[in-house]
Amino acid sequence: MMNRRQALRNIGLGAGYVVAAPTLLSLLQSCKNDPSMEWEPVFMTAANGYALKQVLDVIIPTTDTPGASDVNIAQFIDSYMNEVAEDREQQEFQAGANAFAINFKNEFDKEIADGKPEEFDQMVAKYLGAEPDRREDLMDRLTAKQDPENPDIEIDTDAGSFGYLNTVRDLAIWAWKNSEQVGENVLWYDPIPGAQKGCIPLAEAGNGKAMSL
Amino acid sequence: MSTVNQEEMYDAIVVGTGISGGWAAKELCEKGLKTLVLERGRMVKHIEDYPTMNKDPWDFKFKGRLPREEKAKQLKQDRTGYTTNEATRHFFVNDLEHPYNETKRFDWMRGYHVGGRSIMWGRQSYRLSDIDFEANKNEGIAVDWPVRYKEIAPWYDKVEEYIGVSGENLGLPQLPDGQFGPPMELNCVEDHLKKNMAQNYKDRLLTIGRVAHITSTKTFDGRSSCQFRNRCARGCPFGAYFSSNSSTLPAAERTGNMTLRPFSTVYEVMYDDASGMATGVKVIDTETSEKMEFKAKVIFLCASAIASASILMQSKSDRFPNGMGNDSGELGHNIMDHHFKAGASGRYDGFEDRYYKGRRPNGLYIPRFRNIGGETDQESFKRGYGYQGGASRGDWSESVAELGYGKDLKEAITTPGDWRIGLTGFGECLPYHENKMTLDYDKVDKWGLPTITFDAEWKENEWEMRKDMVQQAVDMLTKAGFKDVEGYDDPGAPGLGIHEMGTARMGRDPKTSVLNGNNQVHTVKNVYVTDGAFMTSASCVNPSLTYMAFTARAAEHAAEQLKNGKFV
Repeated sequence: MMNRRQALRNIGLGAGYVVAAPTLLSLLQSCKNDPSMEWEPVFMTAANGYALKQVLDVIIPTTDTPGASDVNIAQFIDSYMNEVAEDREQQEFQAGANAFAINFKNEFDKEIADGKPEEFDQMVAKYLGAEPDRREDLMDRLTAKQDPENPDIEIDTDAGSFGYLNTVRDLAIWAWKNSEQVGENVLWYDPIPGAQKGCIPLAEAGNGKAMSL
Repeated sequence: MSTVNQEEMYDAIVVGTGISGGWAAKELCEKGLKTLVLERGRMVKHIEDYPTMNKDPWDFKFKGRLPREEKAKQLKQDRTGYTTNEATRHFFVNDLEHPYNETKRFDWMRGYHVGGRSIMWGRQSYRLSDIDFEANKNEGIAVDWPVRYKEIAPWYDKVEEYIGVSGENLGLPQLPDGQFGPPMELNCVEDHLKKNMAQNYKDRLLTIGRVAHITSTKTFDGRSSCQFRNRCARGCPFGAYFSSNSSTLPAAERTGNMTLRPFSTVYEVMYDDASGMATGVKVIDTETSEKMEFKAKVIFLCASAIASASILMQSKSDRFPNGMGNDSGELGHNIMDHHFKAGASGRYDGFEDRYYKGRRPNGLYIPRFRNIGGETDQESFKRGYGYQGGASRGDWSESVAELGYGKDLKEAITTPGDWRIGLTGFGECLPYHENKMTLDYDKVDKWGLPTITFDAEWKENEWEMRKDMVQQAVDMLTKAGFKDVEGYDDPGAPGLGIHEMGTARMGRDPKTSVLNGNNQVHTVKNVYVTDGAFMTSASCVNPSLTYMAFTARAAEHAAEQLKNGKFV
């Protein structure tokens, strides 16, 4: 049987990825069955699922075009992690979500499940809106190689949160662009082009929108 | 299709329905031969059996990606990185049901169904030249091709005219011209590179790929012109690209001479010592596991290079203890493929106000420019390579870190992003006797048939060539003003090019080759092998067009022989 420390090392995660200590985890899972949740995730804890949805509303808000909530991105990411992602991707995602939750608690002194939209707004701004120097520093910490002689996991929830939000953003962009509403109505949807033109003015090509398919 | 009669003596049996089998079926049926066509997989009817042809990303649960559980059934097929998505995975085999063994890694991509890989093929269609046909002889490598370009040229003409190939004639000795429909268009950045190369280089040029798509107004039976959806590998509702299903099999069917039997794995060619001829084939019905025999006067093996060699290897007799036609010991040897995924990519700043229309199912092509005489000859490697690639506009997601989140991010990801270009060389692989496949009778598949073990690798010539493939790509892009130019070299393993070939090579001498110049087994003249197995050398161009041309030529030869009473 592999011990936890060994397991973490084998996952090969950078110091930024953290698997929260059991006590913290139990706190994070405390509202798993909270009936006030409008959606119960299958892969994530209820609290992390709630936070994911809030975060997505900040990353891809509803404007004159659909937002993340309008096309159920949180639900998509949760079931994607459950059914598609490989072990390592699952573990990293879970660890990232936990790091973000711990970080949130440190920041606002309350559970993430009780977070308000403006607080999630601040968290997203702090990481995805960070200046290039800080982003670089966070990325370095995230990808820092672990010393195999000294495998103790330093809990860097700061870098972990940054990594998590980046992963969420990447998945969200992909899922959003490939949703029916966006694919058909926002982007240049041209299911049967019928002809090919190699080089035309942008203005004559889908109203300046990127190709959907 | 009529029911299959085990007692009936067919004129011909065709094993396999892919690129080669479809052509064999059409040609033999059109010459009036009663032909039994055997396919190991299920039926796939044109259009009717293309379940994903009209699906958008959102019609798939995970936008086309496969759930882990499903992916686990196709881990070897997944090595390409593009074959096992939800749009096309049903055209690739279940690796758990169809295992093989790897002494060295070999990426064996297969489609077991009517039409075979002609449904999912890359459609790039190029002719071999005499530079290719003479290379082995000139360099003293392996054996000489028993065929020269002028003998096969009319068959290339015939095939191109029938399947529809779009492209541009260039008058190059290393890449003969053909019968082409109108070429597709380069985009602005590709055209920029083309013009720049014309200024910077005397030895090379850039053109649009030659692809088996209809782009003319010419009439093709039941097929219409390309609509630029770029969903070819799912099967095309317009029949715009060539496949057996859209083209050759319906043509064979129309003659009334074809009997097509799916779920029929051929595992042996039967041999009659008295006549020195094959008498038919042994088959396992893959649904019932029932064994049966079918008889014919002539046999065409078109099961794909590995499978056809495997059938011959299993066809043991007193005369051929090591497999039918294997007096030379070359059967199953000389496996070749094209080595690729070595090249470069870059970004182009400019043309921000330009875009394109249509999703072109094709890319740019830079024909071979190494070792074709004079100053092009290289010290460090033999033969050559061509580049395939293309430019396109992204969606800014590559610079998403700068774009943060919220309204700005949404704006950015819905507008056309940077122009990026990629070039990858497709290099010739030399024929090495020691690159081989063998049969493992201890590890059998669920029908009790031996599994195949691969033992093949790239060698020094390929590794040296790859260095040049990277360097020249980097140089061309850099000279043309591309930014962030990065070379890459991702060799994968033989098989990944899905051009496996050479396992029953042609030659002039039965002592050193399996087939003669008519694709006949030297020592069993009524057995023809016309898939990639016959290739004596690989050239650097995509091979399917060559398989079709040789198949059509062999079919005419076989029909003549039959008419003259040679195969009774």
